[in-house]
Amino acid sequence: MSEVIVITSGKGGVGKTTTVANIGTGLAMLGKKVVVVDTDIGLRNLDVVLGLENRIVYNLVDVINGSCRLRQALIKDKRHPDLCLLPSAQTKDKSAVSPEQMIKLTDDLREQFDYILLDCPAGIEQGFKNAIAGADKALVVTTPEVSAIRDADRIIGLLEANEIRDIRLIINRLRPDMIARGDMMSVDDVTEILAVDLIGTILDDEQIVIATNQGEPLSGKSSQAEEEYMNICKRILGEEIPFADINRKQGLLRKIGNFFKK
Amino acid sequence: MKAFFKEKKRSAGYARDRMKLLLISERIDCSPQMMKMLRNDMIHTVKKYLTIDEEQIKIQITQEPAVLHAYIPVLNKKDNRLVSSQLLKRTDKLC
Repeated sequence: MSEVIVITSGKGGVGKTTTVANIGTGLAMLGKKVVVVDTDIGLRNLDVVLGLENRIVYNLVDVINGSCRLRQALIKDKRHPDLCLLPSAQTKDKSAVSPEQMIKLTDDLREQFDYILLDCPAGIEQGFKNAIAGADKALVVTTPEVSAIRDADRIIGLLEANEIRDIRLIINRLRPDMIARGDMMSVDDVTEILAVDLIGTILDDEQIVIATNQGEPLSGKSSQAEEEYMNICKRILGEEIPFADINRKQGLLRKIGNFFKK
Repeated sequence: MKAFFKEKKRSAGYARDRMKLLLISERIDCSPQMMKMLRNDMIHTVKKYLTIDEEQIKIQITQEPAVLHAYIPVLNKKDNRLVSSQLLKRTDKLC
């Protein structure tokens, strides 16, 4: 049985596209048939993060308009045979697609794939409504900042109003050093404020920037962030993986350092 | 020198408190100002009938489903005559 999961956040720039690229790659590495769909019409992004920008011929709007077959628009990632990308259009705007058309598209994709990951545009307008229309579940990405949390809360409310009940939270760009000295909200703080179940915590990790530069998510450099993306994938598959304790990651050296700072 | 050793309230604590208050009010479409007024009105109303420990009062709204929780510790009995006279005065004012 296939699942359609929308990855959304409300606020832009919190790491939705990176999350989709990494989870999509991770699930494919775990042997699932995965398609990642860039639903941000007008602002194509997921293709560059995946390093597939040079292979686009047709896009999502072409499929919906009937200008091409679904099969023609899907780009197979040569590094991961089970991963496909359906890129978004750059020439059209968000009104080129309706929620009904998106439902039809996701239903067609269900026949071929185990997991359909939808990269949702920022905001709560038409693009967001399109992206969530066909989704069974949602992953909400936020960072431990007030602006991202406020928007995430709005989004959670809108998802619930649209009958999407399975909502899990990813907290991105965590800095254990800042949490330890009380200058960043902890994982517990954010989950308590937003009152949704956690599915993963990603550290602010330069390896993610490097992987994005190279267009190779989860390239196997085994950074903490990449490990945690794999853990999220396993949790999506139903495995029970314990969460890393980011709230109190304070070694003896740092404790001594903090003591002298005071 | 004293300030040097003093534990400062760190920014994460401020952020957490601000977000809790803001999001609760946004979820139920009730501004922090309105929450304050609601709190005052509730204290006011209960005080007409009971002596309460105002310091310990906790009023909050939890979500899913949204429920208004009021924790109002009661101290002891109050003179009934006083309550009714105060009550009359207030209704007068309202009219």
